[in-house]
Amino acid sequence: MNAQLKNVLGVIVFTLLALPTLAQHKIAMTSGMLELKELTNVAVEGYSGNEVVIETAGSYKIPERAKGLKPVNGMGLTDNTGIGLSVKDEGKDRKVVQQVARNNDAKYLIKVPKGVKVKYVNSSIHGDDFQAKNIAGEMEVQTLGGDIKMIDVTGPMTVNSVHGNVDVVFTNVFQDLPSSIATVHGDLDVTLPKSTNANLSLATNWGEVYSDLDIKVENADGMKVYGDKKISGKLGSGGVNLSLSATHGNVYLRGK
Amino acid sequence: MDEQKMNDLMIDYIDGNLTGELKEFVTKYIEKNSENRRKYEELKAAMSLLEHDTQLEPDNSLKTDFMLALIEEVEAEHDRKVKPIKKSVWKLSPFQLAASLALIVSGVFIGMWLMKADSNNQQIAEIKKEMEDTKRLVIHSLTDNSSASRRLQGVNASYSIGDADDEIVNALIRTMNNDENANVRLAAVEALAKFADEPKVLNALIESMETQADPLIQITLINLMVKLKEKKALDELKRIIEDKKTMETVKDEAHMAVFKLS
Repeated sequence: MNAQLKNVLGVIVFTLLALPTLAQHKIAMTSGMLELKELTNVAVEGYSGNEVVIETAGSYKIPERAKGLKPVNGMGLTDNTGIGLSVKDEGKDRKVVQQVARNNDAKYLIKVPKGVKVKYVNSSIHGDDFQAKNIAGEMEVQTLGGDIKMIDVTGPMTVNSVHGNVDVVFTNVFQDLPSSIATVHGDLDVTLPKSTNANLSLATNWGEVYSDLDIKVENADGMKVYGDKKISGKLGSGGVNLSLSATHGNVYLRGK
Repeated sequence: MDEQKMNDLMIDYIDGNLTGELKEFVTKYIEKNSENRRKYEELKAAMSLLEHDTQLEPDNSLKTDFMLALIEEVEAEHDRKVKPIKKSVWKLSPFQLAASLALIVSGVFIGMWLMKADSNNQQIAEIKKEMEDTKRLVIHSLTDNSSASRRLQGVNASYSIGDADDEIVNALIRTMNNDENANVRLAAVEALAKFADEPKVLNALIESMETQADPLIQITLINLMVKLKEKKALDELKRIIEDKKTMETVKDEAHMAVFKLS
């Protein structure tokens, strides 16, 4: 009796665990750019595979009556993934992922192979957070209202937000191409390895800059400094350009 | 018929190579007047000389005379006392010595100076080429649609070209107005701010406020105008304030700017 109950429970638990992974979509790509356009709730994670894997972490449900139908939206997009998203080719090495059905609670977890650039744009004031983890390639991120959290990344990156806070933790700073992070009303919190070599530009008009790193501030000779608070300096022996700006917020620069 | 051809014909005639009409023609020509006759005789004489041409050799007496003269000369040489020219460099007068030294030294210096001038020119040419390469790189990077960071690098590299270069300025203005990435546009505004004392650049910055829809760039441009104390921007700032599409946060910034500039 006890063993039977255990078995039944086991089956139920297994089914529950397996369910979310059933709703997924794969795109074969190892290079080029994955553009995530106007998705509301997204977490991106790097892994060493050869296809982009999009999973729904929450529940993606369509009503009983909609069985056999596909969501359609005003932008002419149709769901070609089965998880409320439209995936389209744009040019030969760019895939654009867009949300078709908006009224769902689906949270998307996207696994991205190394070597694929990630671009995320959300221009909604109610936009949700964007999260990225363990990505060693180029990223472009833009939000209007949503926060941006990036952990264990290297850049190069161009990140900007109007109202969002931006948190970035670098594993190391990619040296071949520059990075720029800017937010208007949010705070900017960046963590770098203490041994980082970079040419820093820190700017805030109304906020403050706080740091525990040894920044060798340079007098900007021959350069017009127009921001009320713009600091140019070197980390370590200098290196790639890293530009951090929070117009109304504070800039926190931490060493680890 | 010219003289040369006539001579050739006469030579053939003398050799007996002519027959028929041509032979008669030449015979008539020779007998025509004394002048032609004389020519014919000359040619004939010359040709017979050529025919009887033999090796002429001087007779032996000449050779004996020469040998005798040679022996006499050699004997005379033995009696003569030879005084070779023996003048050492050290016996040159000090003036001669100084003059030759000066010539050598100045030669070396002129040579070195010429070489240096040449290498200077080469260096200038190299720097010019480098600048040109950087320019091409900047302009090329700014149009790289595959990577925003590469375009950002292009904007950053434009700082290394000190003076406002027309091509670079135009490329930066295009990037400021048209690049799809706000960070790249922001960097272009900052790069152009360096050249804001050029009327063309200032106008482009003011005009850009009209088209920029991104609050990040709008606020940056507004603050730049305040920093430059640029009253010409007032009309544009007022338009931004009245524009219904402008975000509140940008309007606040524009209000502040109008207050500071007026």
